[in-house]
Amino acid sequence: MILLELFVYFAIISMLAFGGGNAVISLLERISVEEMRWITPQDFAVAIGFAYITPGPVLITSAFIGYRTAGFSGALVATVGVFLIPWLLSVLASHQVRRYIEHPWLQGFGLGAAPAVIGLLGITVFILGRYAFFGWLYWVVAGVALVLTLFTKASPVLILIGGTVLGAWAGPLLID
Amino acid sequence: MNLAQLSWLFVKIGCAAFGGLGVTLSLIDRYLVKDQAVLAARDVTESLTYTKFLPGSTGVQVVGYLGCRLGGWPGAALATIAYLLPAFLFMLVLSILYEEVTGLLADSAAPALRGLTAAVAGILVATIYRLAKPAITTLTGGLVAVAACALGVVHGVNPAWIVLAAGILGILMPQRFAQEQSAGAKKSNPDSHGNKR
Repeated sequence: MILLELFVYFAIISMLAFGGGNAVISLLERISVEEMRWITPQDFAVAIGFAYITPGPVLITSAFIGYRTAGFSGALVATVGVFLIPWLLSVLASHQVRRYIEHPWLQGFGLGAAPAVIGLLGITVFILGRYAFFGWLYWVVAGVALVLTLFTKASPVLILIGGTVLGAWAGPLLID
Repeated sequence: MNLAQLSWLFVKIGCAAFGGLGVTLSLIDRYLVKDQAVLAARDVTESLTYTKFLPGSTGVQVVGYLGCRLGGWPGAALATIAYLLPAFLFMLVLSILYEEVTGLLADSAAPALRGLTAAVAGILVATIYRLAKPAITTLTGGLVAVAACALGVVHGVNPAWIVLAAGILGILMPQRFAQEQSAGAKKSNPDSHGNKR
């Protein structure tokens, strides 16, 4: 049953997102592309691009993956799956259940998991690069995007549009 | 502030929150702390502190936490749905368009998508740097990050196991991942490490 599968996997992904949504992008890729084969690597790259273009959390990527897998109901189920449990935890935290959050084990787990999830983001860069880096042009696009994001207040939307337009315009000239 | 007003405010925040958590926080500050004065800045900081160690999207958790503060469970539910609605609809429209466009353009769309992907990779490297600065403060943390990346790329180890293993390492030796508290660090003589800024 595809909807149940979507819900369960996205719920699992959400529970491993120590450090926020960006932390589980690689796990999202692993599950939705390699293990479950819901979407192709190209779809995944586009999904992440869309997540940067749209407002709100990066994990809204789930709506795209859900839609590609099972249409509108898939989008809805994946989105609910990826936000429900973290939301529940935060509301419980708001309800004075703080002593559980301050438990040294949970704190320690968070401390150790944070560097690992950041390192795992590197895998996503490799995966995106394997798909995108055909020729120096795309290295330049990535480098410019990096510099603009780090050192200017340029909107990510504009950076992504710039990269897309440059790829569409100059890409065909390079490959052939 | 009633629940309808609360929902409408979070729809507005959800529409404008390009760039995720940072923008979300500044919008909450503007609408709920400054304009409506239903929350104190302290509440926003508190919501971040207590959701920091919880897994999941921090933006949604901050909204849920503060929504609960403002209107109990109904407030938490409505605020979060309102906050996510614009993003969800936006993504749905893009998904539908994408299906239409790739069907029509097929291979000719590849260079454009590669350009988009390359830009995403660049932004992601910047995000890694920003996340790493506060989270990786010790040598052990740095080693764990490098090991996690290497294990995933070279050996294809499942990220879930890597996160679990690192978390258990954190439980066993938390002091290796957290720098000494700033109380001590700030008092130590400032010229011991030539401050570069």
